[in-house]
Amino acid sequence: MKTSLKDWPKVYQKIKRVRGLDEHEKILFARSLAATPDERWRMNETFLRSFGLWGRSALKKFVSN
Amino acid sequence: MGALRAEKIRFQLIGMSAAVLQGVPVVTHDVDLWIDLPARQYMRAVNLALRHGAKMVRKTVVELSDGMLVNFIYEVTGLGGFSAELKKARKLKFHGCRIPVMPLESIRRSKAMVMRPKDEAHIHYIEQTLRLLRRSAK
Repeated sequence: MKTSLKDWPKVYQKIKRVRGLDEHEKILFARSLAATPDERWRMNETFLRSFGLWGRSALKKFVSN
Repeated sequence: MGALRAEKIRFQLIGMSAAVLQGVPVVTHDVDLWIDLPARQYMRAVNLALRHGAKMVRKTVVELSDGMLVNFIYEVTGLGGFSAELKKARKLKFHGCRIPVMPLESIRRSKAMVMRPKDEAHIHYIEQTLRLLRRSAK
């Protein structure tokens, strides 16, 4: 099934009975699984930018690579 | 990536950037590209990136104009050779190109061989994602 980020509730319906994950994790996985590769990368980039960790400056802040 | 293709240099996306593109909900600050060149030719890929406006950060790391860090890799632990792994790669659309992306199973296998402290957490999320992908495909 081809989905995009807006379809995450459909994916959530499929995984909501999975054991071993709390609600926050299920929503996190549902969003990530529903998204297209470009949307997934945009979420990654947006998250890092929100902490000032995008680009070369990130290397100074991370101990390991 | 288009520039690598134009130069007929084969590559595949690996590591946690490849995992992110396949739905693993983690963050990573660089893109790991496995380049089909001998390690002694590492400057070929770097020079190509520099010609396209990238800045050199380290020996094998460049920063693209949009801030994306790209790490060129020439050897991967725990897996077969480049060509063997390329055959297994998934083709995903990323930044307007269809590119070969290492499957989650292979990323997990490589991380299990290296097992740095951070790999344990990465393997956990890769396994959870594989489990949920099977579930959501039903």
